[in-house]
Amino acid sequence: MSQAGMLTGRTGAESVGTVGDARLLERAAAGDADAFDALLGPRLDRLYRMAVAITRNEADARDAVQEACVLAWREVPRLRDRDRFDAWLSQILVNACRSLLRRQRRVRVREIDVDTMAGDGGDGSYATHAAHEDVPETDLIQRAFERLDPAVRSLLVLHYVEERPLAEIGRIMGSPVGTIKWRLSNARRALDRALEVERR
Amino acid sequence: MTAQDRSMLIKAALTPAREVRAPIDLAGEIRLAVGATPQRRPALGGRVGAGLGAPWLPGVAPRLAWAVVVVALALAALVALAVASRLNPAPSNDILSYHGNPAQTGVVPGPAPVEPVSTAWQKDLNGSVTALQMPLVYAGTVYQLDGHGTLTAFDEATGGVLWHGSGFGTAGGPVISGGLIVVAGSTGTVVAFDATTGQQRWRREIGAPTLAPLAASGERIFVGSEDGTVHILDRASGTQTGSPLAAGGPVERSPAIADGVAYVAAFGGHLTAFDVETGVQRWRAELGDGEIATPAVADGTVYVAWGAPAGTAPYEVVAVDAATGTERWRWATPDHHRLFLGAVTDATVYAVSEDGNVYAIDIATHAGRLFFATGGPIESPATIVDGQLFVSSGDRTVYALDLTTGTARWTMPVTGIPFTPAVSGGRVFVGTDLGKLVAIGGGGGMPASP
Repeated sequence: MSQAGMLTGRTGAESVGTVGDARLLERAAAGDADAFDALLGPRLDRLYRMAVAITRNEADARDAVQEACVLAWREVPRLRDRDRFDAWLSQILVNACRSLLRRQRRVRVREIDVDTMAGDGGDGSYATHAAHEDVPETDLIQRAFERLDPAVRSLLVLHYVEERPLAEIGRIMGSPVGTIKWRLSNARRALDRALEVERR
Repeated sequence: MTAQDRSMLIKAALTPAREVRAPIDLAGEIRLAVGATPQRRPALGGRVGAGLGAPWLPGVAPRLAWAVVVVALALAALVALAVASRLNPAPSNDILSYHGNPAQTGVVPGPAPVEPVSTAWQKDLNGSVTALQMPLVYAGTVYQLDGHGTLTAFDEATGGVLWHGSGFGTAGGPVISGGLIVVAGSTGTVVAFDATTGQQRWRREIGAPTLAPLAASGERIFVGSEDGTVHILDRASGTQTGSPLAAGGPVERSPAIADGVAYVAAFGGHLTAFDVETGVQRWRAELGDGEIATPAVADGTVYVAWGAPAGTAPYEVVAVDAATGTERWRWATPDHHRLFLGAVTDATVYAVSEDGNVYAIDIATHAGRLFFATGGPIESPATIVDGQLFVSSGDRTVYALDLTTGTARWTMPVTGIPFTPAVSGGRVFVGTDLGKLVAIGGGGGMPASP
């Protein structure tokens, strides 16, 4: 994948996109902090936006990105398959976001109580509820999203926001593609149900 | 609303606003933190003979050449020790299949490490490890499959690489039987390697990808596949034995085998029992549309964790009569997180959850209680040895929990999120999502050399 001149796309990036990047990665792996800094620079916005999408909080995103980058620096000498640097970095960031959200969950629980819900709401009809006609649908989705488990959030962001292929999501989430398909289906339903709660 | 409209709406809602950019001082903060963080470099022993990429060699000054000689002699001694241990293996220590034994109870002979524990060695893999890729241990060798589809054999004592194999795509997990280690993968290819030498013995195409760990019984290898069947291969030749077993849905979990019966869990909530010899279906239990985890069999009961589509109901442990398929009882989690069987003893089912908790369910009363809370999600089964429950948690820590007191006897942070621990010969072996295989040892250490 590391073909000369191929630019690393904003989404679905899986490889070290340029020969320059590959050299920077070699130097970073050899302990050159400036090279690592240069490698990270063009990726920082993308990492930060992905963390914001998962955590829905800029302060949390900042912490997650910093934790992920430091861990990546520590481990980069041991990264063998350097063509997959971007996917590897994404995996570390997703795990950092999930860990951060899990830690917070112990203090701040705001999950769906499905036992008190009526109907399954699984038809995906997002824009037809009179009780919330004055609330933009995107706001409802955002609030519903915040009710979801960190793993479900990560999955939805990788699929809908980052538009990563299922195989790559599988590698990032550590699950087979079949399981990812299943989880994605479940994640959509979980979002539907969280929306039902928000619409009450 | 069409599915495409729905996707666009979700994307629009979840995508941060255009003006959201990394704070201007974040790069500086990271730079400072990086400057204060030492890198972890590959250990010399981890690359000797590895053949998994460009060799890494530290700068060795000529005046330190004597040190290299000393290290080489020490390695030679360790290799000799390892060879001796391979000639005199302790079969009772071996971990030959997923979750410790064919019944997949997670209970293994061990022994467990003796405290205080420390990291005996840590080695790089060719890719990250997933929850279904448990280390196996056989005759002094530890085998770890990784997410890039590389199977690597490590010397149990030193962590030195003995051999590696590939050519089956990415895969769930191997099984060891009759001196062979067999692995199947996403390409629909099943490969058998000589467990000692790494030489390929046979290769077969089954026509469908496999993501589940394999299972073995006698001369048969069981390969669960995405085509909704379990293929049965002859261990010696790899040829298909009879018709594939129809499981009702994709099989992404390893079958549990006990008393001549294979219990197969398939997506969609299908749990089916097949006679191992004849392939005849004995019964099928429909647990309900949902996700089903790796089953376990103990004392005439099949246990499995099952979850309905997200949000509709809590995940449950379901107990089914192994002879008839009749449901005996269910225990539901107090929350709605994914659940896995941790391990099963005569009296207790230990279930682990993505909420980070370990639950203990009394088999006699079906009552469950919180047994221990870890600091991160648990996404893989646990292992019981010597009255201790070994749990890998998403807080990047391996826990050794005392089954009597419910307290942690020790904890060990590792590099990355660890998955199912294999405990053998006084050591705990875990693979991690950052592509490491870690050996945790203690005062008991390795078995004494013969």
